[in-house]
Amino acid sequence: MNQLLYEFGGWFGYLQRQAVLWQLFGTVAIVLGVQLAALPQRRRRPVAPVVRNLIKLGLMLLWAVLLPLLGQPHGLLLFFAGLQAIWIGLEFLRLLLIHRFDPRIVGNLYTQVIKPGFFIGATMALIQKLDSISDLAGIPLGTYFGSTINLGQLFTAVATLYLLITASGLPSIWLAWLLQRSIGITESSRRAMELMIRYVLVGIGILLVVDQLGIKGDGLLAVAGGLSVGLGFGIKEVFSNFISGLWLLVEGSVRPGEVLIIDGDPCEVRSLGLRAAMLWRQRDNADLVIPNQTFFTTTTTTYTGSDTLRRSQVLVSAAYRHDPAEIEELLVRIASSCSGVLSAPPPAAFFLSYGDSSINYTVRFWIAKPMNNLSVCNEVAKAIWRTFQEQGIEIPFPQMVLHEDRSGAQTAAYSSQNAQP
Amino acid sequence: MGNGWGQIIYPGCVIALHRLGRRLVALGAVLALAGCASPRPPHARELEGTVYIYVGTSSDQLTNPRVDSHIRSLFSRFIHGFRMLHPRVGVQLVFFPEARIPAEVAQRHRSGLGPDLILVNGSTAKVLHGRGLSRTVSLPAEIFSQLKPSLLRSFHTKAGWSALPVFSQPQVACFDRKVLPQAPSTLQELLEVSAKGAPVGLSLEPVDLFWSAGSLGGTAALQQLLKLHSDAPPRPLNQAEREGLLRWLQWLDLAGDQQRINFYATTDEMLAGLVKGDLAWIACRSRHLPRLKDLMGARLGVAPLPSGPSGEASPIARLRVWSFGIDSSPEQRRISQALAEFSVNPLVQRATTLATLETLPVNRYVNIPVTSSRSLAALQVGMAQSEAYNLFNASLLEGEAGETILRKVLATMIFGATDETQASEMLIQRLTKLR
Repeated sequence: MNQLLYEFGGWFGYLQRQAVLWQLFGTVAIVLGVQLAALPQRRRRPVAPVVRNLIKLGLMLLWAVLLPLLGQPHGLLLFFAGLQAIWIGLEFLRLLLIHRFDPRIVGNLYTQVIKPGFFIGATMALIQKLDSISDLAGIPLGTYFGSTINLGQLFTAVATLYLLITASGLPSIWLAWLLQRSIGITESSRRAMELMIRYVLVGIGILLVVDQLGIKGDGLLAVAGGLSVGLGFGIKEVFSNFISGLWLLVEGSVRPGEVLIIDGDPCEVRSLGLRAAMLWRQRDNADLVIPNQTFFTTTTTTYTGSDTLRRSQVLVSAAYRHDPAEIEELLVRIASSCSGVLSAPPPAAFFLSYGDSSINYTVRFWIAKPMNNLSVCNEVAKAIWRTFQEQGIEIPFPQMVLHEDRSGAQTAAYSSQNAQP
Repeated sequence: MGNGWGQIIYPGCVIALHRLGRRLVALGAVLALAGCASPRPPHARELEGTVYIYVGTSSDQLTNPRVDSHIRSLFSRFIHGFRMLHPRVGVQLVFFPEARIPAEVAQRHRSGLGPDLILVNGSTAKVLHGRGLSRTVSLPAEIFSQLKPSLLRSFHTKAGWSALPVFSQPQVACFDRKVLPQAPSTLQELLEVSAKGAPVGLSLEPVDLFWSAGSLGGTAALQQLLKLHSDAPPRPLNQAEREGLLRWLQWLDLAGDQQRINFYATTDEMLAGLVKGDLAWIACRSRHLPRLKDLMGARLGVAPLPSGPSGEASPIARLRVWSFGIDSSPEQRRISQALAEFSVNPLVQRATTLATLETLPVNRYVNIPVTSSRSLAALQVGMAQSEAYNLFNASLLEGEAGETILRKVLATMIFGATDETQASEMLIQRLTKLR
């Protein structure tokens, strides 16, 4: 570690050189100057970041032209200008991608892969200018699990894992899509497959990293021993959630795209993570984060287990004077005419009970998308009301009549008279 | 409204600008002070600052961590000694393959980030100076007088010295004492011991095979064809030189036909063969000795390379020299000069030789304890052989055009695709075209 700090400290020795100072402080002055000049308080109209960066690049190039005239080298300045140009290029690329692809995916790709990649690449290129990457990589950091680990190994391990975790998404999507096309799996199975491929890729990456670091088996056994104690106490829940998540994926009961009933509301599974599942509740556009083991240990109602059909119903009442057979037939006809109601299995209407002021019926029908239940029910209910109005079918409701005796006490009685709504 | 410095727009912004302004002024003042001349004369001031040293290494040294750590530890001792005298000096070491050094120095010079000192072979130092990537220095008389004139001569220019020799690393014979009690002293003996069952390894790398040319009279032709002495004007080979070249190729062809003489594409393979006991005799470089000693212990024997009918062996020794960078600040130049001069003082030279047993000093007042160390005695003979042919600054780096042609032609002949006469003609034709 001391050697590493010594190397880092040694880079400042270049500041003894006037030629380096000309380039370095020129760059810093340009960057700071443009940033300060473009502060919102100092401008009537804000300057777009791309324009700001272009101005910086232009000034750097101008300074790079002037320095040789002053007899000074300008390679470092050109290097910084090159980085600035790449940064601008990446910004243009981002704008281009946003127009063609889902902005959310592009945003994730940009912030999780491209931006960190740029900064790591730029840092390594700068180090290579000041020092030697291969020399630096060979600096030992210490002995862990019976293996001496140097800076290069540590960097490669961290970078590999980071890349696998962040950038394995697209290959997994592509592979799962390929499998779906070739063996014809369902959409939710494709999503499950996608996750499993991703876990496998990350798992292989971890094995490769362990191998690359040269960590010995007995070291890993010691870690596993420690972990088993940890599993028993501290991180039991984490491990339980992880295993539950894997099991649910394999079992297929909770997969991305499934619709579950949570507290009476239909919710769509958006993702199944290592610890928890993310569900979307349509009613209020809320995201629910539910630990995986909840699904593992409690009863879950799903509308997408064997198929995606949902049977729904609307309750309605009609006055006693109407013929129940006619009402049932009418209800079936109404439900069949509504969009979103499947024709097969066909809708059915039933005489449910004799009510106080009306006969209660139900019309039951099937819908293809469970998440559309509310909107389809709403449509069916409104269609019933309209048709009943048109056909003079009364939907009665109870009325309360108050009687006052001489002592002033009030007694209530339900009127059996029908009333128009 | 206004955009001038320090104008009040928002209180927070003004504070930020004032702070930034104050910091910039403070930074400017520090830099200005740093640039000001000290009241004391420069030579009286204590050395202070960081210098950057590039070290040229062979490709095997970069791939073998054991060798790399050996060089680092050698430098670490040397720098530790220097920092005891000048505690405010920091030294940064950067290692590059020898062949990449000129390109690396040129590239970093464009940014003003070039090295202050470069430890390279004499031939590379000449290339650096020829491309304007190193500067000349003046050596104090007391330093100049201590160095061997033969080693220093080729770095003399009108403006001063283009490099300062530090130590030499000759080529010798390494053998397995368990198989060979004594190393063969002639090429004929080498063939005989192989015929008796001792496996011999020869390298296909021209720089490591060049030693055999001297014993057979091939060096004059090769020196001409490969322009190993760039100062000499090119001329056609005379009959004696052609015959010498042919004699060398004949011997190599004969050696290739021997059952127990094997040619290896890389020196690393040969070294591994010796360590494992698959080989009993190889030509090795002094820089390989620490690694071989570590792995072979008392089995390792070191001897001078065998002579032949036409004279002594002609190994290409590595003369390691300091080249001086052109991007250094005045203080870094002072430190570089002090460090280079420190490296050739008799105490340091002797300590380095005794600590490594792989390098020979360039300071003529350092006595090499040849009676107590057979390795050092062999190294001294190896260096004398190299000096006799003026080969210690010869450049035959892997990948150079001449080296590539020589390597290909030798491989073609040894593996039986051409005979020695055809190989000789091919060499003369192809290498002459290069000149």
